[in-house]
Amino acid sequence: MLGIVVAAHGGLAQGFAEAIELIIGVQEQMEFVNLQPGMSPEDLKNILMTAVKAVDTGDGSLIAVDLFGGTPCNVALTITAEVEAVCLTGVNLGILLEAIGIRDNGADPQEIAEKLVEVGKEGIQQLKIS
Amino acid sequence: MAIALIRIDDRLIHGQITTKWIAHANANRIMIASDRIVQDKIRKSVVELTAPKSIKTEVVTLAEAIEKLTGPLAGENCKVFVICVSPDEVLALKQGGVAFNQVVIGNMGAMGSIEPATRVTKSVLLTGKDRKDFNELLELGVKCEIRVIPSDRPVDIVRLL
Repeated sequence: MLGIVVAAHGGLAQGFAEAIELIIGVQEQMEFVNLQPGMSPEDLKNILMTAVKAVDTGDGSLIAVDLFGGTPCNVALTITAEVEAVCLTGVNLGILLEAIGIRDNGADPQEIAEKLVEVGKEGIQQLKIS
Repeated sequence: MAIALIRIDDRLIHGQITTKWIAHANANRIMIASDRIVQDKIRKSVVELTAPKSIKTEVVTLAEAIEKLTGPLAGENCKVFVICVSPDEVLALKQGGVAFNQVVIGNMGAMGSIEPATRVTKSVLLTGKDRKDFNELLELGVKCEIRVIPSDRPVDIVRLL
């Protein structure tokens, strides 16, 4: 199945890890990478590449990042040029839960990412009881 | 083309830049002026993929940048946010006749440098060559200030060389 790595600023990725564990428990083939103060893009790339290789068991991987154009995104992009991985930006909890649910359906990383973009957007709604 | 702002940042376009500096500089175009980036297919692709969709972004060599920035104006309402990865590139622009007298320094991480570098601020590492290049820029009358985001208090590089 598709490996998943979440990479984000500060403790955000760790936050997603805790939220996922609370809802559905610790997941396999899933790693969380935190961009800490003082970490250079090269440091981050080494850590991220190690995580990507750890979760990929032959079906490729998804690198889910918090912010389009941020350092985790840009570093993840350089990794997608080197291994079988797709970068998904603006990740939210709904996307990650869906990703865990559909990642062994046999589709390739790009198709799964496309579906996740849809699901991510659907999860963003304005609600009020009046 | 009018230069809205020149910035040295080896992270090129990334979160802080796109959200704050472009608005601050009132720029409607981004130009990455760097021979190094033109030749680095992967970093060039990262720029092309992550440039804000609402603004025209180009990655050009220093020679092309000099031509565009000193040639006849390509439209009066063209305000360019220029990004270089190191002071030697900014120096080349100045020596090539591009008119500007200040540069903002963001992130300098001594990426790809074999020379030892010392950290002078949270976001800036300088090699011996960087110091030499900044001194030349200062001699040419270019004020060089470190500011990661527009609201930061500027730190004049002259104090840290």
